[in-house]
Amino acid sequence: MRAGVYLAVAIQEALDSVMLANDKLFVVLAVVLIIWAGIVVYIFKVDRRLVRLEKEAFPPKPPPREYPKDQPS
Amino acid sequence: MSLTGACYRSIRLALVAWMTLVLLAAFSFGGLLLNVPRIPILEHTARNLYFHVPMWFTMMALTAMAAWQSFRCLKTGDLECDMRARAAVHVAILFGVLGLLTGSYWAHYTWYEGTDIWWNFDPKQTMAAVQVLIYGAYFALRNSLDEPEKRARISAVYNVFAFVTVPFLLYVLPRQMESLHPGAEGNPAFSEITHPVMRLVFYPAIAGFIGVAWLLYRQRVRTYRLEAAADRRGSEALIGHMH
Repeated sequence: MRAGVYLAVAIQEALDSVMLANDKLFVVLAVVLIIWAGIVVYIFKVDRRLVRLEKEAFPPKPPPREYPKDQPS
Repeated sequence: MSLTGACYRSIRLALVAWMTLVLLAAFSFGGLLLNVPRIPILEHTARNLYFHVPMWFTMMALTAMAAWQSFRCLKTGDLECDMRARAAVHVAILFGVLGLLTGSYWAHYTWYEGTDIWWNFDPKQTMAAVQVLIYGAYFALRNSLDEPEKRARISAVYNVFAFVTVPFLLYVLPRQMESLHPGAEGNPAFSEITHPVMRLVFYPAIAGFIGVAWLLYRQRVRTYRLEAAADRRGSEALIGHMH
């Protein structure tokens, strides 16, 4: 329990030291990555929806029916 | 032929990974690329080179794609090409607007620092705005035509002519005038002032943004196809109803 608290504090301090270094530039990186993650999720979701709609709108053609040959007509 | 299934999904994954790496590299990469030269006025905003400038390269790539599809449309009369040209112009306008906004914002805090100027009619800025308007008019033209074949043909002719203006408006004319942008009269060109370290991120960023634009373009093409199919079904149902 106590070890967990220490770990959390240590992680927080490490994160702060990274985020505040270099004139807080990495805060901008974090923001950019959050935005990018949102855009990626959006692209994937739109793609999935398109696939579902395409399956409805353009159903695969049924295979041509084969007639038995060699039969008297 | 258009890409489908597993092939498309692996390209999409590769593009997402590529762009994520570019974004990481733009800010750090373990301190390796962190030390971009600190130039007065620009300071940290020099990194906007990785984001603002690729907007224009991406727009140019999309307009080239649109012109090619329009050219094919004129040659074959294929409405699929018309749909692709329309999708490419649509995404091109998106990137053009993003380029205008990011450029205006960047300039406000660097070139025009200490003033309240947001828009100063810098030749490159003006020409870029005109370029976006030229492509906006493409959609105005389309909306004024009802018959699909006629609309495809006329808007394809317009689109090819619109593309002819791109190198002049974005490249040739701004260089002849007094502008704060690199490469203008008296200003050093991009190749003379940009530190080699920045090119390691800049060129991959251009490729990445063009890739992202391609994903958006493809989604739009597929949406247009679905719309066209829905329209066909709708008119068939209407004809069936009338009989």
